Amino acid sequence: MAIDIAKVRSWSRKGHQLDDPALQIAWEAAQRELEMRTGWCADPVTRTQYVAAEPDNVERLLRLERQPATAATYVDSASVTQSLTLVTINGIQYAKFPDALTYPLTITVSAGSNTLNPLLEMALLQRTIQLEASRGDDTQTLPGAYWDRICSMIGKGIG
Amino acid sequence: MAGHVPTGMLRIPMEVQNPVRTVDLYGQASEAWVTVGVVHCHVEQANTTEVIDDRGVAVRTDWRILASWHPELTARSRLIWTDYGTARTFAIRSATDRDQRRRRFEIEATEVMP
Repeated sequence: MAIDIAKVRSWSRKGHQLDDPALQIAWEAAQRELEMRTGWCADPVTRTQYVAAEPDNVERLLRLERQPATAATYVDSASVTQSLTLVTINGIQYAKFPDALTYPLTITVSAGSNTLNPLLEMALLQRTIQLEASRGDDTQTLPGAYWDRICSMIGKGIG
Repeated sequence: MAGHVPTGMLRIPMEVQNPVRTVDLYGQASEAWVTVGVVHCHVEQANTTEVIDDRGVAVRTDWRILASWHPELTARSRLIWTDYGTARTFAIRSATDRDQRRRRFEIEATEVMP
């Protein structure tokens, strides 16, 4: 979901707009952090997912790395874009693959919606403000060796 | 009241008002107060004294207030706290942004009650 700057200002109890650029960056970072750690997209995004071989189950269901997905497509041998059926099982989305495809292939997943779960929205607001409050301040450390955690996530295959 | 203050401590919203002076044809100034914003505050009472002013006995209370930073808030401003429907006025004597990070104001203010 795009930032609702008035909401973020109110949540952080800021009576002015001078910190808006920093809040904007922190909001984007919080969303990205959520996506990298959990695969949950709070913003509509398009990502690709590599499928090495046919999913090893009777229904040929593949768990999507990005949720909540709105569409998953692949390009067939005739260079035509085909849609995959999305199946939700216990709140997790899977793509159902047709029979006799040539693997490996890369699917394109559209994920995220503009509606946020209010609990998640609150968590994002809180995280945004925490990130913003720590800006340029080495007296207020982020929890859990933040930089180490980011470094161990980046370039390791997700995000 | 210094160092890091969690935003959650700043629970009381107060209106910031600044004085605007208008000078008439005879050079007489009249003052009006204009609301410029809302800051969230943490309020501590410092001390209370009974004083005699030109309308008789009054109670003057000093308050120490910790507020979120606001660009319009200065030592000339006053704060209005609407406390269960009663507007209380705090005349600011000093407003300090101690660490100059534009996050918090440390305010000393006086409230005069007749």
